[in-house]
Amino acid sequence: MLIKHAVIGLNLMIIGIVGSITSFILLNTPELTAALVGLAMVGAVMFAIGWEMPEHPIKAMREEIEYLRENIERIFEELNILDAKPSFLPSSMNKDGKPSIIIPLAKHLHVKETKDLPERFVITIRNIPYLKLRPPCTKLIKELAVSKVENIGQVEDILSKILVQHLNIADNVKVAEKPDSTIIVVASKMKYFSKGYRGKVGFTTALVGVVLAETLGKKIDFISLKIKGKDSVLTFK
Amino acid sequence: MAETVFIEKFLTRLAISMFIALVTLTLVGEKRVDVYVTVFILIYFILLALYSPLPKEVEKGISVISKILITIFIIIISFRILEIIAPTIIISILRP
Repeated sequence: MLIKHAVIGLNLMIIGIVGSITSFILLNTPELTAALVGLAMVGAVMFAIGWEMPEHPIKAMREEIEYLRENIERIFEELNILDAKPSFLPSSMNKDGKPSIIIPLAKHLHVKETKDLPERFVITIRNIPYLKLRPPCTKLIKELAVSKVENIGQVEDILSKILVQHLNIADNVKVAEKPDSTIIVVASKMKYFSKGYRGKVGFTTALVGVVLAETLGKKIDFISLKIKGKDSVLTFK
Repeated sequence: MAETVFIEKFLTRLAISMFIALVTLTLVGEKRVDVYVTVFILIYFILLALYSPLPKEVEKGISVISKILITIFIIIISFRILEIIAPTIIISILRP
């Protein structure tokens, strides 16, 4: 329950109902009655929302994220893969029907073979060990039914829907494809940069990569990330 | 967190829209309270449609309010229709 919303909503509702009845019967002023009816309506909506909405312990959630981030970073640092460039596989290429991120453990090589990869955290392809990770926002991707599209314009629409409308972490997203099939994604006025994370592939990069893999229905390799002021320029192939 | 921001946007726009409607109707010299209430209810449903789907947690509470408001709306509209097609019924209802 959001206490503040519920209390303010209840107060507005009581003032609105009592005031509107009083002004209608005693004062006979329709404008004031109408204003108080409106107040009661807004109060009722606010009360209902405050009563039903669960309160999120934001501080605890931040601490939990920080704790998990730091330990994952230490594992990646120990494995010497903080700078490794991953590949993104769509759900159609995975046995369990979920998209995944493949990070090479031994060399800075993008994965070549993507068929019948086992469902494990550490996998080996042609004697090269890889990490197979779960990408972020798999639930959201499933909810939005992100699937293969026909052109790059539709990819831009889906990415805008996710990054701008749903997650609210960027103001605008542009996607362009070069003749050499390099895909450039520009997320303008980013509001969230995975602060403190030293690895190459943060939350936004992983999310964009996996959405590209899902929408284009093929393996996508991460090339580079450049930050220009508040804009992120991501390159994939 | 994002859900709370979304809900707050909905509430703010609802209050602003109702205020604009109130000022406009007052300026045109409207004296019937039921007209104001009807317009407020319409604004509520328009904004609800624009902001849907609201977070799952608040759907139950919002649906209760929507049911109450739609009932009020139906009552007001029914009275207005009766006033036109059968004014004698309205007189008999309002007079004890």
